[in-house]
Order: sequence, then C-alpha cells, then structure tokens
Amino acid sequence: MFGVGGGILLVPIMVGFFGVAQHRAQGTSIAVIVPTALVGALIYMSNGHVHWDLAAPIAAGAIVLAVVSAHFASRIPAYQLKLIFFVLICVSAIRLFFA
Amino acid sequence: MDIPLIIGAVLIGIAAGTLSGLLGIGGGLVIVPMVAIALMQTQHVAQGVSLAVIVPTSIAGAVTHYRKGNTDVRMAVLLAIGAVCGSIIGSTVANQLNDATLRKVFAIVLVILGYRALPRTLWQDIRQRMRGTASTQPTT
Repeated sequence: MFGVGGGILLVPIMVGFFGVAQHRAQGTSIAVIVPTALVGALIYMSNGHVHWDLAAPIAAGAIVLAVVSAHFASRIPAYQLKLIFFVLICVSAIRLFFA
Repeated sequence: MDIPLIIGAVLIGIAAGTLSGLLGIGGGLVIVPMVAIALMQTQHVAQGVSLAVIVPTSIAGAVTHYRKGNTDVRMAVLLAIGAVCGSIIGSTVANQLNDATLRKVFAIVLVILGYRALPRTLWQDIRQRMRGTASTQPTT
C-alpha cells in the first residue's frame, strides 16, 4: 500500500499482543516480508513504476548491510532493539502525520 | 545515469539494509522518503523502487535470521498468507483513497502500536534487567 514491507507493524504486534520474543519476532517478520514485497513489487512493475536503474544500486547497498546487521542483531539485547524500534515508530508517525 | 545519483542510491541502500537486518523490517520506511525527496522521484516511483529493493534485501535478511534460528516458520507461513491477501486488498483500497488521508491513517496506527504494544514489554525487560543486577530480590 505504501511501498513498505509491513515489518514496522508485524514486529510490535507479535511482541506486544502475541508475546513473541523480540529476536524471534524480527526473524519471522523478515520472512513474512519476502512474499508480501514480491506481490507488491509485481503490481508496481506491471504499472511501470519500478525504475531498475535506481533499484539496482540501492539493493546492492541494502543486501550487504542487511546480512551484516542481521548477524549483529543477535548480539544486541532485546530491550535495546525495542528501544530502537520505539524511536523508529515515533519518528515515522510524526513524519507521516506532518508530511 | 550520473555518478552522484548512483552514490546517493547506494547510501540509501546502506541505511535501509542496516535497519532491515537489525530490526526485521523491510526498510521501505527509509527508502520511500529518501528516493522521493533526495533522488527527486514521484511517490509512485519511490514506492515501486522500494518494493523492488525490499524483495532481495528481505531474502538476504530472512536467510541470515533463519540460519541463526530466529524464525518461527509456522507462524511466518500463517502471517504471510494474511499479509499477501492484505497487501492485495490494501493496494486496491489505496488507489481509491487520497494520499494525505492514507498517511494520517497509517500514522495513527503507528501511534496506537507505539503506545499500546511496545512500551509494556520494553518496561518489563528493563525492570527485569534491573532486578537481575539486584541479585537478592525475588522474581515476581
């Protein structure tokens, strides 16, 4: 809907309402995002809204750092991850509301 | 395509990938506004590019998390069925609503989640940690 995967909704819902541990919620969330983003990307692609010359360099940077930081995430305590998440949610909410 | 644009795009990718791997999110929250504002693209192009980037990024992150045993496969499958249906319904509905309304709806959902879901478990964790350092105190 917004060109996002939905992880910002999935993780807090799993942790807050289903009592899933933070690390497990994150690992599960990223797996759910794969098919969701794929469907979304196909819909946008059929409308000609995917510019590959932009997507390719962004993806190159993103893939490398995603693997590195996913390794790193396992060593960070859950409460610190939640704190980062909380800040990210606040910033996004403010940005969306006033954009 | 010129060099500064490519460098800008790679930097956006680095920021999005870091958040994606660290927090288990797609990274679209970073990619969409950055592509729209910094690379001066329309909102539709920004969202399309974002989704195209999220696919390989989330595969890379999902494989890494799975290897580390952080994935609940059964829950992921169930959630994915719901999420895929939701995204198809969402993109159909989104086309009929105006952009500003959609942003506000999403912002309100985030505020509710940020207020209701997260702090509760966050305080629990912090309290538990403090209790852990004060070793004599019994756990309740």
